[in-house]
Amino acid sequence: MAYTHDITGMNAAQGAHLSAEKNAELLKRIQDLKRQNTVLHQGSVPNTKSGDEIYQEILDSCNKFVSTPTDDTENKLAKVLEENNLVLHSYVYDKTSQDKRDVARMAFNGYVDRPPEFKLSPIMREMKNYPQKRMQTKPEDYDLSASSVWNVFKQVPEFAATEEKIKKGLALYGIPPEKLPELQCKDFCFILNDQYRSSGKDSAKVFQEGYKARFTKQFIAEYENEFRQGLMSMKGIRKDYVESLISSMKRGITDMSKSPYWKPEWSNQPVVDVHHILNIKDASVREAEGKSFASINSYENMCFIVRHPQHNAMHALEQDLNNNYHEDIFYNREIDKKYIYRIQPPEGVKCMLGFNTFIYDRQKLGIEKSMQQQQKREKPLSEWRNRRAEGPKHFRGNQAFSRNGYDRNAF
Amino acid sequence: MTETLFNKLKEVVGCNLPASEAQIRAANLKLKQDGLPPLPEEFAALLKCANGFSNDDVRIFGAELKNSSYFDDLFTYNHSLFHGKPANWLVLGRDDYYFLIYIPSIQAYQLVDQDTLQPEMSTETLETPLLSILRI
Repeated sequence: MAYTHDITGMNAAQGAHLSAEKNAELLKRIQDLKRQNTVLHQGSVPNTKSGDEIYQEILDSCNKFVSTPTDDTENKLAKVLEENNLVLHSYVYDKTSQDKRDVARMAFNGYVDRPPEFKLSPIMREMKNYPQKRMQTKPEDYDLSASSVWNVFKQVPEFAATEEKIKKGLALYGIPPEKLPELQCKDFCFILNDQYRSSGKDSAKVFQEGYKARFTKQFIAEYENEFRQGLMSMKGIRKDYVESLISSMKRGITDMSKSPYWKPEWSNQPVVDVHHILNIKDASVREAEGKSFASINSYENMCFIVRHPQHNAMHALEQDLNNNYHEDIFYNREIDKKYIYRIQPPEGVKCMLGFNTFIYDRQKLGIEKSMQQQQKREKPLSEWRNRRAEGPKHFRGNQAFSRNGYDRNAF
Repeated sequence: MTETLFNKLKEVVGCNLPASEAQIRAANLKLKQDGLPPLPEEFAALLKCANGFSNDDVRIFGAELKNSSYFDDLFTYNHSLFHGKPANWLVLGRDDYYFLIYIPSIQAYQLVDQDTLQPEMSTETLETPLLSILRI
């Protein structure tokens, strides 16, 4: 569903809608974090509203803006978001094809579902249901570049690696090679699912791991200490839950309800989700920047976020009153351009544990891994102590310390 | 039958604690007040084994769930979807693309596309569409 609002006089400029004051506040925050050598920001002023109240306020402002898009409702929405450390963004609208969205989503999940038969193309359905009509072909008879759908799939390196399996599947169903351009995305999904699925399962694991699991592992390897510290400061949090969650995340899993160690007492503990900062639906924005749509799944474009209310708030503009997802497209007659509006976390945030608790991207802030470094320091330092205890043969005195502090290369 | 299905589910998906009779009754009462169909018997029996299921982005709703971040409440979802207005079908669960619904007039469980509401699968029993949406 797409709703187009014909408007004039709106602020519809591409980019972040942030006031100068907020911008200055965010810059100051980053400077403070750098000074303190930490990437964990925990707002010092306690918010008087509950998370649910903030979520409802954001939802109401979104609904007002969408039903009556004016400068006034837009500015009010931007202000409510700012107060809660979220940012209103707008982009020139260029619809991302459904094929690209589906391929990006499958790459994110790492599995391919078996599509229902009615979604297959007529030629695929015919060959699937009438084996007598199948052509006698060999995998090498197929040149996949003739398919526009394959040209979308192959932009994801892991799908590009499935080329031979797809050719094998096409030959298995005897698809006439000249019919390749008629094949649709769901036909490729059907063939991939057929080639990779284990018996009795509807989903096929095509990759070793999807981009979601990959991001999860990389994130926790990078920010374990800050993540633990941020979670532990939350009201009602359980230490056993946090430790189990971190341990699962190291294996790329975030849904703790599936864990063999799941405890019913955890059902009210915060669920963390991987969030695309730039929505999969907006992959065309990446293409306009000269990148592949597949870069929507890059490490830089993902962050962790608590599901409710923060993640739901992030998607509040895409939800209508009936909780259905849709796209709102705004047309500005004065400059003859279509826009979409999205809610995003502030620039450089890698994890959002509350409306005022963030973990910033260490690289973007230029802050070294302080905690991990400390752990690394401890090991050689203890080794040094042990060596000293062993006797003068191994004792290297203060050579391990340079004038500027610890010298990692000293050992 | 329900127990066999539950045993199959508990091996692979996240399961909440069992729902009590009181929770099922309270959910049915609320659904009735909104003009929505009651929980189908087979589904209610499954909720008595586990009051809600979760498999990454797939949710099978539970009855009268309060303060649960892992499992979603069936009445809250349907109330919000139908905006408190009567409807002749009930959403029992969802993933990114499909709803698992029950239509009492034809006594069928269906998997329907969320955008088009076109059914992908329609069965008299819960098991097949449930396992399909949970990707088992």
